[in-house]
Amino acid sequence: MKSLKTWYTLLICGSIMMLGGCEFRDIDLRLFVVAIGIDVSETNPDMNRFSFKIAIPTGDPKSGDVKTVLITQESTSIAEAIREAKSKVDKELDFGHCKGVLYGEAYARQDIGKIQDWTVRRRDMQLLMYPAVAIPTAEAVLKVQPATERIAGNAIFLALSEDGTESPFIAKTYSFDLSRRMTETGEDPVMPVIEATGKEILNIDKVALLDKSRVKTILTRDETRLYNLLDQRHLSTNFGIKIEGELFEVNTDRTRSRYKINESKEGAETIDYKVSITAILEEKEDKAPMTPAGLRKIEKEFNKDLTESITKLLEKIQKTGLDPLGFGLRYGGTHWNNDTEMEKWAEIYPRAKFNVHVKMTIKSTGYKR
Amino acid sequence: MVRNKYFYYLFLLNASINLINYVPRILIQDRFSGVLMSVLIAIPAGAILMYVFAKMLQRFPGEGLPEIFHSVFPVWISGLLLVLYGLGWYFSSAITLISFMDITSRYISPDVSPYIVLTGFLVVVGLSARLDSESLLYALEMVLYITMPLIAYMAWRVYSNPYFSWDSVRQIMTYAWNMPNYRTVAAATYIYTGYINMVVFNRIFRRFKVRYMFSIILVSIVSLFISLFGPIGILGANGAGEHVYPAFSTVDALRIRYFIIERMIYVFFVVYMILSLMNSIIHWHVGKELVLGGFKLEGEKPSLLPKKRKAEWWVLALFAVVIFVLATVINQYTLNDMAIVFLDVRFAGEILLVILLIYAAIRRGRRRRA
Repeated sequence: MKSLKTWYTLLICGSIMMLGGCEFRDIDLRLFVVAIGIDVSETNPDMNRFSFKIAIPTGDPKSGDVKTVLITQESTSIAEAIREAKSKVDKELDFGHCKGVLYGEAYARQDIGKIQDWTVRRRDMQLLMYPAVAIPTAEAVLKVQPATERIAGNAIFLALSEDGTESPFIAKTYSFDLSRRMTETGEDPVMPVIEATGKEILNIDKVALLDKSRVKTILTRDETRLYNLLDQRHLSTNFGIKIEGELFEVNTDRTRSRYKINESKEGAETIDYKVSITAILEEKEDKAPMTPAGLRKIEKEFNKDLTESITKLLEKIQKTGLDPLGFGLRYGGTHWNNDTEMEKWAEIYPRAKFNVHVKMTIKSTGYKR
Repeated sequence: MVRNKYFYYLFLLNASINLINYVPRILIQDRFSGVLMSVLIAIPAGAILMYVFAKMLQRFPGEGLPEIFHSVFPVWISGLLLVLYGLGWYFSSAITLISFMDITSRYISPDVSPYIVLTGFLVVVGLSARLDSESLLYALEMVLYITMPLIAYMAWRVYSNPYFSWDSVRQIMTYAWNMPNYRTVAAATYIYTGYINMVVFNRIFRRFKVRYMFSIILVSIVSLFISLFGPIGILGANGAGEHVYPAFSTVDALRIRYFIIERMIYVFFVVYMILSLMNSIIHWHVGKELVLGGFKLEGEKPSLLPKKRKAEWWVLALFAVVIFVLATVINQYTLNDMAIVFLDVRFAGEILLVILLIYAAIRRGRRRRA
């Protein structure tokens, strides 16, 4: 028993001695990088311009005085840029709370593969970061200081994560989802687009479609909403329509989109989309109370209108050759000829027709008849 | 004396620890060539091995492997076998501990020296492995009651994630008609391996009997499903192969929205740290007993006890030193190779162990009749 005690004592003393050797830094010696921006350099084509938005810890988040610093650094690689940025600040840079990677539009049109690989590879970066395309440049977007921001650098992520605002125009994506789509055969990446409009407002209402590594197309606002309708479940949005000069707006409650790849006829393959929407009437110009027959009529008009615009969107995406909705992966997952299925799909996709079937049910007219 | 339920706990511990011991990675490496077939073979193979082992062990109530071997084999053969099995079993924990050290420095605290972390682990494991078998089982029960609900919650979160790509899973399923291979089968049977611990714990079981094989098979199917398809759904059919620790990267992609911490990985890390330590403690305990048994220091015989207590320190010290040295010399690739070699050898060793037990049971039966 006595020898055991001696051993314990020795061990405890020994472990205290080892503690001095570790390199842990206290929280007040750290600066938290909350977002990284990457742009092309205007002066040197080999270099990129990296911006780091750094939050300065304050004691009380309720006080509302937000302190951030934006450090920009031109460098050949991001690893180099971080080391160079470190010599511009007095404290250790911590990436543990980094929640955004913004690719400037010009940069995103080149190749984001290198940086995306870095964010996954680096050990202190989360896989839960929000990647986005920034217009005009990442630096400009990071410079915007929204008046509504309460915690430094928080505004962008509250919007992108949909923890704060929930907009039908925001295509929420995580870093892991982006890297998954970048490597997956038959599914292409998408990213939301953040625009800096004015000094205090950020606008996120578009989605960028990428091939495996660069931005190819940016959809318009309305197309983005339809894209989200096809991609997500229970999207809450509004849809408007004009019938005989009168405006009707509905607010969606539950939405669901499903598709099947129908190849019963060789050479005339179709992708059958079924979109079901439950909605509530929100706005109408017509003063007369609504009748069930009137509702059916509106539903019918909506079905026709949405079918048309969704088909148009799908055809537009098809023309770019991109596959953000993962049709190719679905095809691969339902076919057993593993060696040839992807070549077959490459043949089928450009010629496939879209059959869109929208079924909207307006289940209530709100408080008023 | 303990009741039968502790056998299931031993099984459950190993079934859950597979995420650390490179099982998902080996399975995922093979995802485009026969992993499903290998898993389909591994499930009955593992279950049969476990069942036969348990049936044979029932004929030796209250005896550990050292007692059984010494009674039917010459001293040098049984000594050699016991030491080899002891070291093999200990090696499993070496992989767990070293890879967990690696995980800690990779995901949690890059700034802290990994050797300090490892020293902490070794101290805890080394000191706890000396406890008697019964206390270890009670501790195991408590640990499982704490961690299992969390693991179930995390698994549910993985599969209910809106970003979980079922199409990627279906894509892998269409690769089912490929030939299985030994390495993947061996890796997949790791789920069942917990029963090997009974070679020592059988000493304290009262009338050991294995029942509910059906639920054991069900649990193993579920855990294989989690370790294989969880990473594939989240990281992608192609992307899953790019990660060093697919299971950890998968959990890193989970977000807890309304909780004090935001990243699931911290919960996962704590859960698996507890499980790895518990697993290593039990493996060291079994390994130590087998090695000591090899030198005829078995059980709790009062005449041998002081000598055994002293020898125990030496064995445990050796265990700790070997792991520490290994940790300093190997890198990520050799660790992975080591894990593969271990899993391969382990499966063959298990089959041999069951054959030896059958032989021992026959010898014993004959002697009794004679």
